[in-house]
Amino acid sequence: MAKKDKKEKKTIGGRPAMRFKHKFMLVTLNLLMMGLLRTGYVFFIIGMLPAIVAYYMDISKHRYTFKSVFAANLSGMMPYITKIIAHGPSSSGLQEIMGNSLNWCIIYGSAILGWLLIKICPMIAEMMVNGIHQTQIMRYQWLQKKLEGEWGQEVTQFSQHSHLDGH
Amino acid sequence: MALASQMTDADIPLIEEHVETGLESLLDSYRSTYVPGGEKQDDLMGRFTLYPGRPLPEFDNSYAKAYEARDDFNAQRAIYALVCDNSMPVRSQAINDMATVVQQNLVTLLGSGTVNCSHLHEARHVMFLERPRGVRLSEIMQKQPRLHEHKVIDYVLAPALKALQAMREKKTSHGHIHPNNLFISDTPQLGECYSAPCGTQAHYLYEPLERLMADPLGRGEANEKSDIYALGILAFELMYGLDKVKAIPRETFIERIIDQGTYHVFATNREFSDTFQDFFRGILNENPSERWGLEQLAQWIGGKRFNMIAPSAPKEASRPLVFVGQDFFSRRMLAYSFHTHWREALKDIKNLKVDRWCEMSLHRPELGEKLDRSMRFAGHASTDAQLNDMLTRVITILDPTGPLRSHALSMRPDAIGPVLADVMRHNGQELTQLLSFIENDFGSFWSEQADANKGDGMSMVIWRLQRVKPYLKSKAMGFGLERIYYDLNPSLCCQSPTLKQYHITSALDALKALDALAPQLGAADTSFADRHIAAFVASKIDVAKEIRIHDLESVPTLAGNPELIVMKLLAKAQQKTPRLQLVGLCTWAGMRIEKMIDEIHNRIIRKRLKLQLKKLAQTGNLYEVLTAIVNTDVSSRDHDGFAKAIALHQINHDRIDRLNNEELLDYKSKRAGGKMAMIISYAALTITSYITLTNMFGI
Repeated sequence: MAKKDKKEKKTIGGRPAMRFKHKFMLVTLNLLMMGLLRTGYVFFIIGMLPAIVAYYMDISKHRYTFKSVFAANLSGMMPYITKIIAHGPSSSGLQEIMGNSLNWCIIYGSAILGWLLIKICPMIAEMMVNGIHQTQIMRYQWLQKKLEGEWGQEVTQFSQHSHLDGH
Repeated sequence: MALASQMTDADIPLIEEHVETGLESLLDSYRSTYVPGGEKQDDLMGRFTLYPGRPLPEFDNSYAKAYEARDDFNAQRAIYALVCDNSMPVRSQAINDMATVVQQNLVTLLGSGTVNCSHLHEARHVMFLERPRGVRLSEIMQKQPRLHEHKVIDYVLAPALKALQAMREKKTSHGHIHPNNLFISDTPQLGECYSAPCGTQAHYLYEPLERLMADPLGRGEANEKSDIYALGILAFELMYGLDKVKAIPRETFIERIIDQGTYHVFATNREFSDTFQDFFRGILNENPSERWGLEQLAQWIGGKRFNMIAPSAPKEASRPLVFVGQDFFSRRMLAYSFHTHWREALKDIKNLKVDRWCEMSLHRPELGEKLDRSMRFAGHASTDAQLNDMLTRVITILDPTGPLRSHALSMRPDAIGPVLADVMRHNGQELTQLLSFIENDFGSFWSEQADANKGDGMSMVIWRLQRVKPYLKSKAMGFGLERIYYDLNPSLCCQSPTLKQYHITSALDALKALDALAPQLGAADTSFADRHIAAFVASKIDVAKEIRIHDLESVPTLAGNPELIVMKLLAKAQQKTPRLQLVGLCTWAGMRIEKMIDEIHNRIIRKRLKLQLKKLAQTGNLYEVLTAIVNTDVSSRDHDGFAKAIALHQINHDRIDRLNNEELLDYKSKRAGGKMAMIISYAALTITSYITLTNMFGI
């Protein structure tokens, strides 16, 4: 019962509650970014908006959408973050990056790519899983035929019942 | 999916169901050297020849037909043959005892055995007997109704005494003494007595009271005293005639004998000579223990005088017992009346207080106690069967020397076998009552009631009845009603429709006959499950316990298979003759087993077993053939393997179902796709991070 309650506590409004480890990592990352980027931290937050949105939108258990969008978003952000870190927290440099629409296209485009991956990859995976399933089904059917050949149709009696029950 | 399924079907060939065992061709080519019923028609042992076209109706009886015959060893000897009924037992003990015994006053039994009768197209038990010389006494009596005392002694009593003495030496009795079976010539002869049950061919007057009250077939084996009684009646008939007594209805005659005594019924208003007064007083006695035997008769013929006192009229009770409006002073008469008024007796028995009557009026408290116990034993019996059984006991206690009586039957325990044969022959309604005699052990009860009931091999009969009692309840092959039928009638041939026409009387002959008949039986797909064959063989090899096939307990459809049980019985019988090879029978058994093997689930084991059947059949040993299927290793492997195969099939079936589940496919695809997308994204992040960081630090 206690275990069940504990499990229930981990989900809030259908969305899994953030673990302490993740919270700690998030706070650390933000503090690190604040320390490294200073004023550029605003740019970081704006640039990472798709990931933040994805975090709140993705209520699945494994949060693959968030993770993919986050990683893609961050990979789009990386060149600019390193630039800010390398040049220091100057407002001119920050204005130059933020004022260039191409940069935003790159940053948000990479986030979109991450989201597109989430849309495309399951299709590819479906084809692959289906292929694997069919191979396994063929193998099992071969085994079934072998059993029926050796033991007769009588071996199917319970399988047929379970099949009917299933229906 | 459909394509995959088609491919699987085509790839795996199903194990072939039909396996060519070669048994049919083996059986087709098999010919046994044994000819069931006998190779040569109308011939016994190459010595006696039966002439079926020349009947001798004057020697017929209810159970045998007579024909002319010839003794090839002595063509001058006049003989005749008696072809016996194959549904009724012959007097096998008497036949064995008296075979080839030569006594001039007794027709000699020259030979007997199974003969293939051409006119009947079947084999029968046939007896070859010396043809009696002279004229039947009954024919003489028609011409000369009365004979002088001396002639009676010289032509009837003295020769008959010699014949009976010869029979007693062989511990047997005649049982068929009547004017039609006594042949008068220079050497008077008693006719044959082997083909019909005792007391079935003569008028009931020739039977003493204890046998007279029984049904004709229920009189059992005759004894010395009943033979002497018949001689006494015969002598009386020759001297005084029996017309008046014959005119009395049977029931009235019995009642008069019980009421007045046998001697007084016959001696009414008649003066016997001094000589014959002793004779009739000694013989016409309804008490078997007081009746004359062979010794007294021999002494009397030798001239000894006994000064016998006339037996007193048997009036036992001081006060009568009233039943159906009649007063009864004699317990024997009361017992007889209970039997003849069965329904009334059943209704009134508890209110009659017979036990009190025995105590107070008969002064026989022990009888009263026995009756009280029997009636209490039935207690508040609710079923008709229980009440009937109680009344049988009451009648037996009241008249212990009389026969066992039920509503429809009246018989002595040693007649249960022949009566059972007769009831089964015509599907009689009396079967239930007859079986209740065996089930309730009435034979033992009857023999305990009087010392006169214990002699003359009766203990063997009682032992046999007790032995078959448990068989009655068993429904297994080799037991049940059929087993009792053969155990109580050892001389009966096997009554199976397959074997009856060959008159098979031993287990060995049954095996040989089945072996010889196997090509026809196998071709006709005949089953081994024949209750008569099973019971006959079980009786002959004395199987006392039910046959169970423990090795097949894991195959329930085969464990109680009646065919396998019969095969095992036959195999047991074959073991008694170790060198006997029965290739035909084994091949037929193999063909039946081939079908049973289909009960084995595993096709590979099936095929292996079927392929070895021919080899096993060729050994001619039924046990070897049975090992093909009666095999613990095979049955347990098949049983366990089948259970595992079912489980595995079910598991695989569930797996296939799961793999075909669209929702599961969708879930798995989404999960794998998500992972894939995440991995690609992280890979991109790693590469980007690596490039930017290396650029930043100028590595």
